[in-house]
Amino acid sequence: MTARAESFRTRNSVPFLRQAAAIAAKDLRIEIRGRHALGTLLPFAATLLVSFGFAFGPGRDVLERTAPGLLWMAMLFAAVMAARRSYQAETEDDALEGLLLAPVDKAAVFLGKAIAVALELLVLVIAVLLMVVVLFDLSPGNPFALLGAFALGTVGLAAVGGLFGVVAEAERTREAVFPMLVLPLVTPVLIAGVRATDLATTGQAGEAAQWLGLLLAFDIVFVSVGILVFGHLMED
Amino acid sequence: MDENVGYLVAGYAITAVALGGYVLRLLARAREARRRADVVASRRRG
Amino acid sequence: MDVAARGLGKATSRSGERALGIAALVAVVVSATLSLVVAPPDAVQGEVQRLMYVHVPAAWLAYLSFFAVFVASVAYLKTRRIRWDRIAAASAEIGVLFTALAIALGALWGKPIWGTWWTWDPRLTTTAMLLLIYLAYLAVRRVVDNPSRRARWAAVIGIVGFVDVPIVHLSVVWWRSLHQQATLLRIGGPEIHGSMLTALLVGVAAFTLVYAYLMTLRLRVGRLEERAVREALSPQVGELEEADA
Repeated sequence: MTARAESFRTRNSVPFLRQAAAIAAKDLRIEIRGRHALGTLLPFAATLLVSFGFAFGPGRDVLERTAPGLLWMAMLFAAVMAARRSYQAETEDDALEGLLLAPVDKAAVFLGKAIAVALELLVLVIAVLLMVVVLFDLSPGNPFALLGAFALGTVGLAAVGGLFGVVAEAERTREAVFPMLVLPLVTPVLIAGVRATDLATTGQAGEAAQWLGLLLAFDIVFVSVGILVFGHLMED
Repeated sequence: MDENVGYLVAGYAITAVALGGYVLRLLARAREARRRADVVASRRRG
Repeated sequence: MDVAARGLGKATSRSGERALGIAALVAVVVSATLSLVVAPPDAVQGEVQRLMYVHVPAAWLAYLSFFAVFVASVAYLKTRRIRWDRIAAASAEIGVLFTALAIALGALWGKPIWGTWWTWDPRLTTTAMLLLIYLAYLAVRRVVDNPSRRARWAAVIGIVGFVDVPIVHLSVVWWRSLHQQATLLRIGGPEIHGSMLTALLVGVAAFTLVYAYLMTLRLRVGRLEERAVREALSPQVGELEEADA
C-alpha cells in the first residue's frame, strides 16, 4: 500500500493526476476524430429506444412510466460499448504494449480511460434524455437532480467499464464475457439511476437525494478499488 | 398445507442430487485426469 | 526428502479427505433427521417450511464460498503463490453450486407460500446477482489461457465482485422497500426457538462440512487435472514443477 502511494508521487516527474488527464485527453482526441460516440453510440441508443417503443408500446402510459428505466438500459449498453471501444483503440495498433512500457502509473491509465469514457457517456446521456422526452413523453423535471444522477451514474459505469475493458480484448474472449462481467456489477447504478431519474421527472426531486448518495458511494468505492487493482490487470 | 409436501420433497431431492451428483462428477474428473496422465506416461515408456 | 514430504502430504490428505467425506455424510444425515422428523411443522406455513433447513444453509455457504474466493484472491495478488489461485477457483466452482441451490430452494419455498416462484425478495435477488458474478468469474477463467494472467484477472474479479455485493444488496433493499413485503424467513414470529433453531444450526454445520469436503476433493481434482495437462505438454518438466507453490 505504501509502495503504491509512493509510486503516485515519485514514479516519475509527472504527477499522477496529470498523467491521468493526459491519457484522458489522448482518448478523447481519438474519440473526437473517430466520432464513435456520435457515429455509433447515438444511433445505437436511438435504435434501442425505438425498439423499446415497439416492444412495450403503443400505449403511451406504459412507455411514460418505464421511460427512466429505458434510458438507463440504453446507457448501460452504451457504456459497455464505449469501454470496449476505449481498449480496442489500443490493441488495434498494439498500443497497449506501448502503454505498458511507458513510464506511466498503471492506475493513471485506468483513471484517464474512465474519465474519457465518462465524458463520452455524459454527452450521450443528454442526447438520450432528449430522445426519451420526445419518444416517451417524459417530462424533463428538475435539471439539478437529473444532472446529478447522470454525472454520478456515468462515472460509475465508466469506472467499472474502464476497469475491466482490458478483459474485453483478451486472447480468446468470447463476445459475451465482458458485458456478462460488467452488467451485474453496475446493478446499483441501474437501480439508483432509474429511481433518481424517476423522482426528478415526477416532481419529487427532494427524495432523489438518497439515491444520489448511493451513486456517489458506488463511484467512490469503484474508483478507489479500480486505482488499487488495475495494475494487476495490465501486467504481462 | 399438506398439499405443499411436493415442494418439500422436491427441495430435498434437488439438494441430494446436486450435492451427491457434484461429488460423483468430481470423482469422475479425478479418475479421468489420472487416466490421461497414465496414458501419456505409458506412451512415453512404450 | 522433498519428494517424501510431498508424498506424505498426499497420503494423509487422501485419508483426511475420506474422513472429511464421512463426517460430512453423517452430519447431513443427522441434519436431515432433525429437519424432517424432529423439528415441528410451522404453525402458519406447515411442512413446506422445512425447506428453511436446506435453503438457509445453502445461502450461508454461497456467501462463505464467495468470501473464501475474496480472501484467496487477495492472498494471491499479495503473495503470487499459485496455491491461492487454485483455492479461489475451487471455492468459486463450489460456490456456484450452493448459490444456484439456494436460489432453487428459495423458489420452491416461495411458490406455495407467496404464489409465485420469484418475488424479487431482497436477499434472494442479491443471491441471484451473486450467482451472475460467480458465473462471470468462471467464464473469464475459461477464456484466458495464460495461467498467470488467468489467476491475476480472476483475483481482481473475485475482489471487485465481493466488494460490490454489499452495495448491490443495499440498492436492492432500498428498491424493494418501495413495496413492503415480508420475507420467507418470518416464521411464527420474529424469533425461532428450540428444536427449530437447533435444526437450522445443525444444517449450517452440516453444509459447512460438506463445503470443506468438496474443497479438499476439488483441490485434489485440480492438482490431477493440472498434472495431466503438464504430462501431455512435457513430462520431465511436469514432475519438476509439481510443487504446490
